[in-house]
Amino acid sequence: MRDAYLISRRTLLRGLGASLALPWLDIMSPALGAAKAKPPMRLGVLYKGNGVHPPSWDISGTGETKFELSPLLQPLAAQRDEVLFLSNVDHAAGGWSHQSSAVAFLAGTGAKGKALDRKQPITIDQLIAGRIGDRTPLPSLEMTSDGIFLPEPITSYISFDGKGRAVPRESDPQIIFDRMFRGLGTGRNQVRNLSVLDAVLSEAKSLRRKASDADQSRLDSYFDAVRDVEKRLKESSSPGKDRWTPTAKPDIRRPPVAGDLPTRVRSLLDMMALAFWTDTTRVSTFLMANSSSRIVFDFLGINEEHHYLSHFVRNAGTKYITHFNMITKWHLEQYAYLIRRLAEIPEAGGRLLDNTVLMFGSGMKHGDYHSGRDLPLVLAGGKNAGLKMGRWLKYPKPQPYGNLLVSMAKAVGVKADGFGSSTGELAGLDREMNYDFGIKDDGSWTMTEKDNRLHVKGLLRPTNDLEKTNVYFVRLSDGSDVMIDAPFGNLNSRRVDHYVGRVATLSGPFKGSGKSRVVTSVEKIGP
Amino acid sequence: MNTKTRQALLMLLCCCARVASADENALSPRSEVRFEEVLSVLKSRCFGCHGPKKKKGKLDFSLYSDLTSALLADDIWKKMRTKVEEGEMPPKKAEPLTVEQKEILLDWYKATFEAVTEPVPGPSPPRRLTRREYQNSLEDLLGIELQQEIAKDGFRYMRPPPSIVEKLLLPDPPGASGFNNDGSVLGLNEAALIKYLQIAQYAVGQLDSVKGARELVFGGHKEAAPLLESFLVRAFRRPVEKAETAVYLGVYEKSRAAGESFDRAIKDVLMTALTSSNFLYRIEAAAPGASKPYLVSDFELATRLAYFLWSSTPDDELLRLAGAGKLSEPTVLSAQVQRMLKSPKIREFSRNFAGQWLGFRELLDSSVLVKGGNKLVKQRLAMHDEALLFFEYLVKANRPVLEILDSGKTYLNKILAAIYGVRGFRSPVAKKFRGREDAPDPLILWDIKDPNRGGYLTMAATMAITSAPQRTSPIRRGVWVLDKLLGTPVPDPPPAIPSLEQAGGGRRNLTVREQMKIHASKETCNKCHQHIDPLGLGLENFGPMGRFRSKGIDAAGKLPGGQEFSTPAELKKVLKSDFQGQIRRNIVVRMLSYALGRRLRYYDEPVISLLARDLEKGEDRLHLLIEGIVRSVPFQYRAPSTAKINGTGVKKQ
Repeated sequence: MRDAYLISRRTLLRGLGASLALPWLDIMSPALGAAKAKPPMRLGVLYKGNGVHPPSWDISGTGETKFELSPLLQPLAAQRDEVLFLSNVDHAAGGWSHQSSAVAFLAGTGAKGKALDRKQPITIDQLIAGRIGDRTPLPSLEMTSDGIFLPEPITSYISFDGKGRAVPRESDPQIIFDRMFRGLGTGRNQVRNLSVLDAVLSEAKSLRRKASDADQSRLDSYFDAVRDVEKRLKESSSPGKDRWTPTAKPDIRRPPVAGDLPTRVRSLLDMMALAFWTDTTRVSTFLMANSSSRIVFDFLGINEEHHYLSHFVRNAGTKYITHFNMITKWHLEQYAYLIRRLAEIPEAGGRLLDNTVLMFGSGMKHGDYHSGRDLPLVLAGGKNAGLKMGRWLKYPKPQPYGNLLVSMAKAVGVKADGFGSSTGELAGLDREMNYDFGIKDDGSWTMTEKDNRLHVKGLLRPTNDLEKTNVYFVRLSDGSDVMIDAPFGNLNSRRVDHYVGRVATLSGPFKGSGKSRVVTSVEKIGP
Repeated sequence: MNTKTRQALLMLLCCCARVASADENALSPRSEVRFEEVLSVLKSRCFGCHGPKKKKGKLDFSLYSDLTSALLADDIWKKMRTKVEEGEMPPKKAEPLTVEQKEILLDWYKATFEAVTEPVPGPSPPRRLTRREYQNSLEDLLGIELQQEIAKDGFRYMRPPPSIVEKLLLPDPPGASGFNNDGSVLGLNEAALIKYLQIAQYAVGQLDSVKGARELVFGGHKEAAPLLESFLVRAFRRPVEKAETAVYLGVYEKSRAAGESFDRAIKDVLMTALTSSNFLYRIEAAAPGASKPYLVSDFELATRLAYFLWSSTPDDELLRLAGAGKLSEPTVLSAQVQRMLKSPKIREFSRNFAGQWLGFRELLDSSVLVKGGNKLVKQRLAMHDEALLFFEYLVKANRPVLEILDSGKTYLNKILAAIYGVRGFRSPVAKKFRGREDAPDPLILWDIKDPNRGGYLTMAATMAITSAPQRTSPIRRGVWVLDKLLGTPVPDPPPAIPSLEQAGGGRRNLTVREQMKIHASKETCNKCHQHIDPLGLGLENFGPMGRFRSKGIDAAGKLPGGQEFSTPAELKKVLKSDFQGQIRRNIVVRMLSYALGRRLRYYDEPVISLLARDLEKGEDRLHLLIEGIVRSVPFQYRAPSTAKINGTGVKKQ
C-alpha cells in the first residue's frame, strides 16, 4: 500500500520526454485536456486576526434585504448584491482566545497549545483539498502577508493538514507565481532538474523502505513532499481529465517585487485570482493578519500595533478605536478588491466569481474581550453553487460555526458531515429565510421634547465616519435620523454601543431645533 | 575505543551510576492502574468545572483519558499537584477532597513524574536542518558564500541583502522549546523540496566562481567514484555504504551518457545529494532490538556537536576523528569542544541560541527594517550586533553565566555610545572615513562604568524588543524578565479579563502607574501582575530605544518577596543575589533544550539538576556548562527505538 503512489513513477518519467519541451507546468500549452461543460467550484478564504470593534461592524436593519451597511462594511457598498452577511454564527464554546481562534477559523474547533508541536484538527480547506486537490497541479495554495508571532506560533496559521501539521504559507507573490508556473526552470535547466529530481525520488523510495518506523513518522513530511512532487510531474505530463481549461486567456505575468504591505497584499490577491482562473488550484487561504497580529499599519498613518489597538477597551482611547477600525476597513477593501477582480474574469459564459465561494472573516468578534460569539463573517460569489447573495442573514438563534464550514464544503462539492463542531448544514445560504429580526418599525420610532430633554426611540447605529467615535444616529419611523453627538466618556459609561442594531429608547439634553436637534449627552438608555 | 570502555568512562564523567530509560519508570503497570483511579477521582470531583463542558481556566481533564495523552501534559499535572497539595482546589465553596482522593492524585503524580531520578536520553527523532543550519552547511560543504556578510568583525553599517536561502525558504517557526531547531515542528512540503533543488543548483553553480570552492569539492580527483565517496561522507555526515555510492554513481553516469562534461555530471550528483533527506535531515541510526539507551556513534556525536555549537555541518577534523573512532574519547572530545569554542563559527551559537532565547534576533525582523529610516535601521542593527557580540564574548572568554544579567563589558560603536550617553568613546575607524555617511561604525569591546548598564537586562536591544513602536511597555519588559531570565513564563490573561477601563471606573488616560495600581486591586489581575509590574516599572528609566531618561520616571519598586529597589542597577543587584539559582537553572534549561532540539520534560530533571549543581560549583563558567551538556546522557545517548516519538520518549501502548 505504502508505495502504491510510486508505481506510476517509471511510466511517468518515460512520458516526461513529451512534456520537456514545455515550460514546467505551463497550463497555457495548447490542448490540455478537453474543455468541460461546467467550470469547477473554488473556495477562497481571507482571514484577519484580532477581531473587530463590534458596534462598528454590526449591521442595523429590519429584514434580510432591508438593512444599512455598518461603518466597517462600507467598502462593500458597491458590491452589496455580491455578498452575504452573516450574523449570529458562532463558536459554542466560551472563553475564546488569540491562540484558539486561528486554528478554529477553518477547523470549527479550538487549537491545542501555543507552539506547533501538537496535532491540530484538520481544517476544512485541507479536507476539501484532500478530496478534490488531485484534479489540479496544486491541491491548495496558502498565503499570508504577516510574519510568525514567535511567542505563539499557532496564531500564525489557519490551514492544518490531515496529520495535524500547520501548512506553510508563502508571502512572496513572485515565489507563488514561480511555484505555479515556473517551478523547475526551462530548457537545459529543466532537463537537469528533472533528472536530479528523479534520482532524489528514487533515493527517497529506498530510504522509506529502510527507515525505522519511528523515524518514518518524522520523515513523513519529506516523503509527502516527494509524493506531491511526483503527482505534479504526472499532472504536467498528462493533465487529469478533471482539469478545467480556462475559457478566457489568462494574463500570466510574474508580479513585481513586493515592496510595502499594500502592494504585497494586492499581488497576493492577484495570485489567488490567477490560481483559480488557470485551475492551478481550487482551494486557497490567505491569512492577512494572524490572530495576534503585531503589524504596524504605518501607511494608514497608524503607529501602534494591530493587536494593541484591538484591545481598545483596556487600552482606553478613542483614537485607538478609530485606528483599529481603519485597519479592519482596509482589510475589507482588500476583500472588495478580490470580489471585483473575480467578477471581471469571464468564465464559461459567466464570471469566475460565480464559480468561487469567497469568505472573509475573523476568528473572534470583540477584539478586546476575545469573544467567539456572532463572528464577523461575509460570503461572496458561489452563484453556480446556488448561493444567494445580496442579503443579511441574521439567525434568530446562534448557529454552530461548524455548520457554515460544512455548507461551504458542500458548495464546492465536498461532503463534510460532522466536521468540526457542526450539527448539520447552515440553513439559508441558498434561499431567503425571512427571519423575524424582532425589529419592527411599528410607527413608534419618534422623538419628543420634554423638560429640556429630548426623548428618542428608534434604531441605533454609529456614524460611518470612523474618525468620530462619539457620534451615533437613531433612525425614526419617518425615515429621518436623530444625531447623538456626546462625549465619548458619557457614551461609554452608558454603554450606548451595546444598543447598536437594536431599538433603543434614550433621553438627554440637546442642542439645535426642529429636525436638526442633536442629543449632546445620553442620560438614560434602554430597550 | 569500544563501546564498553567508552560507556564506563562516560559514567565516571557524568556522575551517574546508571543510565535509565524513561519508559521503564513511567509506564509500569502500576502506574496505569493508578491512572484509572486518578481518572475516576477527576471525573467525580473535577469534571464539573474542568470537563468538556465548562473548561474553566481553559482546563479540560477529559482530554487526558488515557495514560499516553496524560503523560504528554506534565505541566498540567504539576499545576494540579500544587493546587491539590495547597488545598486551593477544589475551591472553597465546594466539598474538599477526601484524604484518600487526595492521596490517589498526589501519589500518582509522584510515582509518575518524580520517579525518574537518573539521567535519561529522551527522544531524538530525525530533524530537518533549520533554514540557517541548511545555509551554513551548504557554505561549509561547498566552500561558498551564500550570505554577503558585511558585518565582518562587527563592521556592519547597512542591512545585508537576504541570501538566496532566505529569499526562497520560509522561516522556521519556533517549537515548544522556544527554538526553531525543535524537531517537533520542522516540516517540509512539495514547494520546499523544489526550492531545495533550486538552491542546490545555484550553490553548485558557485563552485567555479568562488576561490578554492572547486578544489574543496573536487580535490585532485579525476574520477567520479572516489570523489563522490568523500563528498557523500561529508554531506551525509556519516560513512556511506557501497550501494549508496552506487546510486549516486548511477546519476553521474546517466549525465555522462547524456553528453555532459565530467564537471557538469559531478555537479548533477551534488545537486541530488543536497536535495536528499540524508543531507536535509539529521538522521541517527536506530539500534534494532535495543531495549536500553545506547551511545550514539562518533559520527552522530560529531553532528550533534557541530549543530549545537556552529549550527552547521561537522568540519573535516571532526569527521576525521569520528572516522577513527576517537571523537568520543573524553580528552579528545574536550579538546574538540575547546577548539570549536575558539572558532569564528561560534558566532552562530550566539546568533541562534542567544538570539532566539533572549529575543534580540527580532531586531532583524525585515518588516521593521524596511520601515525605519536609515538612522533607525542603523540603530537597530547596532543594537542587534551588540547583543550578538556580547554573548560571543561571554562564551569565548569563558565568563560566568550570570554576566548575562550584569557585566562590566559590552560592545559599542558610535551609534550605541550616543544612545547610552557614553562619553569619550573613540571609534577605531580610520580618519579618512570620518564624517562620511557610509563610514564603517564597528563595534568594539568597551568597559562600562554606568552601573545601570551592562548585561542583557538593560541592554538597548532588550529595551527595544520589549517596547511598542513608540512607547515603552512595562508589561512586556516584566514578562521578558520572568520568562527569559527567570524561566517562569506568565500564563495568559484570563479570557474574561476585566478591562482596565472598567476596573478604573470609566476614567481614561491613566498613567502607567495608575494602571498598575488597578491591576493590584483585582485578584485575577494581581496574581500575575504583582510579579510582572514591579519588574517592568523598574526598567522605565529606559526609553523605547534604550536611552536613559529620568524626568518624571519613578523606577522604585518592591518585588512580591519584599525586596526593594530604586534604580535599575539596584534591581539588577536584587535579581543577582536573590534569584541567582533560578537564573542559573534557567540558563541550563534553555541551553540544554537548544542542544537537544526539544522541549525539556519531567524526565530531564535529573540532568538539569546535575548541570546546575556542577555549574554553581565551578564558578558558573560557561565552558563548564557547554562541556557538561556535551557530556550529558541525552547528548551522548539515544533512547531505544521502542521509545516512540510524539515527543514523549515513552512507549506507546
